[in-house]
Amino acid sequence: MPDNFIKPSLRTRGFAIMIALIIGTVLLILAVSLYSFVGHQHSGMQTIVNGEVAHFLAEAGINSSIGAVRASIARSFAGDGGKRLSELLLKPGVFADVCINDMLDPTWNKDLETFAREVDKEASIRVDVWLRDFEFAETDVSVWADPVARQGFLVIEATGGFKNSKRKIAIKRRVSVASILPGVLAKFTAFVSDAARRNEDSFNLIRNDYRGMITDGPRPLMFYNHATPDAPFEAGNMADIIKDEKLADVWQRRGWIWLGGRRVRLNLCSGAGDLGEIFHFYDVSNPNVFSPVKFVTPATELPPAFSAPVRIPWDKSNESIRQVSYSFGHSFVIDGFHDRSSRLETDAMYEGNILSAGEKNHYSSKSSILHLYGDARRGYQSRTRIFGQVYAAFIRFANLEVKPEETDVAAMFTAANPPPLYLLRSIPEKAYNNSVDILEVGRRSVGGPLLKSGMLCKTYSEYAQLMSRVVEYPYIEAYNSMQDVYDARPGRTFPSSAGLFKADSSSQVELQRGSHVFFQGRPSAESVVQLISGRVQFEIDSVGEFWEKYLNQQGELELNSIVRIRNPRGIDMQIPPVGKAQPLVVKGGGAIVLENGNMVLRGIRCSSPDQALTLVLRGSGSVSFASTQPNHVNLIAPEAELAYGSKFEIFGTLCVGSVYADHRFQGGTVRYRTGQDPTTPGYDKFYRVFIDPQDSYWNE
Amino acid sequence: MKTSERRVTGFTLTEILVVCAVSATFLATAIMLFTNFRQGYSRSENVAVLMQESALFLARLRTDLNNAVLSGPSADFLRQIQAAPDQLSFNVYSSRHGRIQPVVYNYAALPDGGRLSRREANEGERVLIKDHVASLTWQVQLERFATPGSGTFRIGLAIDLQLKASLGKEKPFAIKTTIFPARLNRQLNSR
Amino acid sequence: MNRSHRTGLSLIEIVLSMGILSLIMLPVFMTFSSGNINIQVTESEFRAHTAALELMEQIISLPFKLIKAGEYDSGQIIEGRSFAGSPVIFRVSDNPDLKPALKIEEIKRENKVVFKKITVTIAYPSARASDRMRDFTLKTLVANEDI
Repeated sequence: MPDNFIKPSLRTRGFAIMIALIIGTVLLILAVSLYSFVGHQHSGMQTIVNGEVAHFLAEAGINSSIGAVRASIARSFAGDGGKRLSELLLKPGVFADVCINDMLDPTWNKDLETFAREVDKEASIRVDVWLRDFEFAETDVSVWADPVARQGFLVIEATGGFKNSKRKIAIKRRVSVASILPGVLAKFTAFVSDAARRNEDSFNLIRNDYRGMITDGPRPLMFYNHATPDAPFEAGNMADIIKDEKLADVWQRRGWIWLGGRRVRLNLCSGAGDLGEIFHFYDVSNPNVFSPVKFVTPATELPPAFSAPVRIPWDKSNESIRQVSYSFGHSFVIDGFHDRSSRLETDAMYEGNILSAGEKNHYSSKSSILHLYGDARRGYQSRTRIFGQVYAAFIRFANLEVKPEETDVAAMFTAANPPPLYLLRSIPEKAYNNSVDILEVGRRSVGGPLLKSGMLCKTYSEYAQLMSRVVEYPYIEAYNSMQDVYDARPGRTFPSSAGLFKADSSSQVELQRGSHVFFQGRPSAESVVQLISGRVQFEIDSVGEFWEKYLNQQGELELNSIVRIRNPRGIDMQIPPVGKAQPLVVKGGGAIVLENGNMVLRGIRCSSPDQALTLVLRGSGSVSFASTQPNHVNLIAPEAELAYGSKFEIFGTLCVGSVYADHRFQGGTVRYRTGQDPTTPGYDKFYRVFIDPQDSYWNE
Repeated sequence: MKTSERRVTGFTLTEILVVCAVSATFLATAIMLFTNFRQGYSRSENVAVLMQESALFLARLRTDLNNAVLSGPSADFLRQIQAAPDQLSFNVYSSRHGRIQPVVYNYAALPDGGRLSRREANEGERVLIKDHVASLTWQVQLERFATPGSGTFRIGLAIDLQLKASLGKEKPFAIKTTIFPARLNRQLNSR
Repeated sequence: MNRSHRTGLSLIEIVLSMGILSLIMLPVFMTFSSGNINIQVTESEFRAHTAALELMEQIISLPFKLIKAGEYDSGQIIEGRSFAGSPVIFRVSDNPDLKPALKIEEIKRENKVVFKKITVTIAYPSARASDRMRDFTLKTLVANEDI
């Protein structure tokens, strides 16, 4: 019996173990399922956690890319390191969506990889940077059609990966490319909306005396419309300038002048340098010696008394009464400046008042009226086109040519020093009679005739033809026609008013370069203000905040964008601001639109030829200058008045509503910056790319 | 004749007693562990389910708030996120539709456990948590710090959520946190 | 004719089967008890993760200038306490078991700060009343927009 116990059968033995195994397996399965459930819970949580880590990795990708893009753009515009991005953005023409990963700084991706690896070796960040949805921003030819101005989006897509979770964040920011130059006004040296200030004839009114010193009235405002040899940028070469002046259409390459509003008179004057041009009726082969060109009236236009010698008592009649035979001719000089005598400025230079009282009244002259525009010096004669209802008036000094026919008298005559001069003064009709004396200028007795008006002219109308008077060009197109004289063009005669007038073709302007037309139509300063306002990329509340944001550590202006200052309290803007050194150095150019308030300029200097600063003042404030430092600026203030202050110098474009012209106005010069001419490739230097500092859209 | 060859099949008393004792011990231990396990299992499962639901809800809300944008007149920017006891609403940018649209979270408090659902624009309402919400409060927290300049704002959404299982008397699963939408805050402060 | 066998378990069988069973049951029992702990760990992790997100998000919601560099430990990261002496205050949801830590580093290039690297670390107990602390870390970069 014990044997049975000790040796159970194989089947019996295996049976128990099998039961044990089965139970164990069942329980094991239960445990495993519990474990996996918990594990599943755990991994479910882990996925969420991993997702959040991935989210922050993607955030890091976005944040680092924004900085890299801005740095790349700044670098490619500054010229160092890969110009591809700037070339891409400034290329005229249609702009397709493009991925710009390879145009960014190569270390950008490495920064991200380093960061990702630092988080975890299973972490990854992948970023794609795109420029998308670009459209042309300025296409209206009647306002300004710019081939490069465009707006679109910078899109950054960052994918963060951590373990098995991926999160993708995409952000979009606005990008705009715009020119900082003032549209069609970039072709003008000066654009004055109402030059006559509601008063005809009051533009640039100067009074001066014999020595050329200004005695009364405002100081002159002068315009240089080309690159003069002393320009701070793009200085002209003297030989090229002289060569250019011979071209009839040199004005196409110059800055233009617009004098709008009522009819405005530009009166020519003589004088070099500060006082204005020697206009075209002077011989200027030696600009420092003024010798007028004398125009001789042809005999056929003279009254019959001039056709043959006349016997008239001479002026030495108190010595001996004698009748001398004189032959007469007539000539005139056209002059804008006179009164070189030491007399009081109320006396005319020439005896007897060349201008009649009526004329003096009409032209509000004391001794002379000088309307200055231009500089007589070689290389500085800035011939260009004037738009507007501009006419010129100047004084015609009529001279009676007296030639004694008898040799001894002739000898006496020529011996007189200075040479005898018989001016035919201007006399109004009601003061005229046949016995008006025609005297020698110095009232000398030099052997000349004792003349009365009736001896030469039978009627007043004959006398009026010959006498001195103010002559007007009813319409002029050219500013500084100096070169006409320089060329010594033959056959120049006194122009007749009938032939002069050219109908103004409503001042239509067309600007184009190559095949692209920038502008067509009538220039309007208001639409330029709208154009620049449309380009505004950033708005700031006050002038103080503007300086805080855009002045760098050295007190230089780093703008590189187009900014509007809302200025609700109408505070004046001083440039540079009070307390900062003059002049303000512009290291990064741009455009500023100031709403309300006035502007006071105290000196602005662009640090390089690639920089420019455009100031736009909206509202009817004033613009003035508080320093004689030069200002490299384009000043666009079509409703503002150019007020009196110190004598100023602008290198750029000046656009104002009107010029304040009384004796306190110190005058100044405006020099056109030929580098800003849109019809030249230099205009392309003045685009700026702006990336909005805020996200416009984002999505995860 | 063959009496010595007869086997007796059967168990002795000792054997039975021993087997009973061993199996009783075994079974008792097993049952005890099983009961514990079952209780623990259901408790863990409930907690795990509640935790997962709350995690998913918070992740969903966080993603939505990350996409939240400022829209409308700038005077209203400080009230971009509207929180009432039963509704939370704000605007997000949806890249799928390419526009800004509203997102609304609705909370219906019910005696046996409330319901939390979400609706985007005009799409259908999707239930996120069903019958498990013991209580939910959400509150927009607007902070203003007196930093130099015009000060700094920070908007956050403070959430206090308590979930409990449908049956059982266990403690509810509670989570309290504040979500700060970073992009929205950045836009707010750069106005 | 054959011997009729007695069915029954020998001692060896019992011992063997008990051995096998206990070997199989050992991990199962351990799973039973550890299952709970796993759930607890997951819950702690979840709370730590939520607290980390809360801290991280409130910092990156600030303007770049206000994110002051430095290291801040759980003694400074308290609800209502000033952040780095600035007017900004911390917002911390009540969670006494968690120990937050914040580190903000500046990354400079050519002497200008281009990024700030923000690291949030939350130390949490691995089980409800355990002494062992585990770490959860979140990191990100914030860019300087003022360049």
